[in-house]
Amino acid sequence: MQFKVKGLGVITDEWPKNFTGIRLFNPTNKENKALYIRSKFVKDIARYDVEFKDGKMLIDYLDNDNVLSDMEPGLSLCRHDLVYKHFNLDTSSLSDLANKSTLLLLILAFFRISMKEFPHVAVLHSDGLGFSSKTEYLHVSDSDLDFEVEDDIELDGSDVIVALSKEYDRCRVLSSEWLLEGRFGVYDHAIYILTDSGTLYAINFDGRFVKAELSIIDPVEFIENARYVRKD
Amino acid sequence: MQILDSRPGLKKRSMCILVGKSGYATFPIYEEHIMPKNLTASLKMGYLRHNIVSLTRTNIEKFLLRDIRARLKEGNMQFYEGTLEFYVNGNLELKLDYKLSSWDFIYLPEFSTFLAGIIYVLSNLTGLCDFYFEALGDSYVFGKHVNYVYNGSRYFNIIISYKDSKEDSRSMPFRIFMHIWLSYLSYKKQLHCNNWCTKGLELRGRNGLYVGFEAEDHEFKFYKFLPDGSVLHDNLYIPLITSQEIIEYLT
Repeated sequence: MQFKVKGLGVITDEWPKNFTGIRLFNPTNKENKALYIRSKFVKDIARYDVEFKDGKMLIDYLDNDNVLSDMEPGLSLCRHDLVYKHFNLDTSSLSDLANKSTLLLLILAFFRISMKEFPHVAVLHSDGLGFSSKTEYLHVSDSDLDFEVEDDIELDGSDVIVALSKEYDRCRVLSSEWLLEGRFGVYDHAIYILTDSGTLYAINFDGRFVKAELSIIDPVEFIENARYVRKD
Repeated sequence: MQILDSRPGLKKRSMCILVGKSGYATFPIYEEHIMPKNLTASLKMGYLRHNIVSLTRTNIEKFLLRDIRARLKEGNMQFYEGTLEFYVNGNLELKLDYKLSSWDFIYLPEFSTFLAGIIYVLSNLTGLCDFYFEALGDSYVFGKHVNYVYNGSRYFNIIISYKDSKEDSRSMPFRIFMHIWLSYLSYKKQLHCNNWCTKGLELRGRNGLYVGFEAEDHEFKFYKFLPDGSVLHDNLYIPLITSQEIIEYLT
């Protein structure tokens, strides 16, 4: 079986040869087959216009309305057939909530267009857009940026997904608001993104991108000092 | 590169072999002049053919992928392990046991660069003898059989040493040291490699590797050779000592 979803390309249920992309699996699905979405790197995200069509089959596949089952659908990122990252998806009653399914398609599209050059992915959980009056930055610990462990994707609008390059120097970050790309840094348990246009952003408690103002230090110097180093 | 299902016959043969779970990869030998002429006290840049190292890297990556897939069929694995062996005239000269975590499988192009650089260099040195690994990454290793755990790096420093088999056994026991520097930039798909050589007496101190050069008649200066290939000329140099003292030290 194969079908096409606008924004995600052709989706198949046969493991493609030398597969680099996203593997989706719903253990409660009767057919017991995974779905595969090939990665397609998009270099210029400013020109990338995300639009989804014909996603119903995909959403139906992942929809988990079997409340008695504790088996969650999941997605894995694969490179040359080798799985290197797994996520558990909270997809309960996906089809009932239009927002949830749109968010899921957005996340899949984000992985699809980013994973080739930004393979290290971690999911951070904020307080959720609009639910917090806090103005502080989202607190990030070392364990939050542990790229090797399984992560949960909640699909409630609170997820901030951070994808880093192999060298941990550049990133793409997806919030429920929009997508940012730039140089990556962590300083005082907060994430900073310096875009190529020279604007420095941080992530607020509720998952929004906010401009970070620096009074003395130059943003380039700041992001160099805040460079993230792999924890072994 | 050839992939074989069984270990190749090695009687009097010289070659590098990658030993995997699903098979063996063997590499051709070369007779290129990767060492500079007239080795002296200072490090001299040698010659490496980027295109051959690059082609070797591509082949090694394919072999590693094939081998990892074969092991994955047996179930989950946390680490992939393999071995690089270097034979000269049928004798095992060097052995490198490598290990990378499953998380580092996304760095196969980089790791393959590391193996390709070593294999290309060794495949050019089959006329020499008494090989040692001196340093890998950021640390000294000192041995013919060493272990290496890959840490996701895209830059590699390797120092090997060996003897010129044509040299008179009565002459000073000089060794040749080669520092190999490799990098792979995945976003540009670019491989860089260079090598530098020097020749001198080797002293292995507790805190490092020293290479001695004949400064004046029967007198030697020793410089510290760091794992990253740099040479310390100032702080850690050993003052002049005689060749007799050196020979006594070495024996």
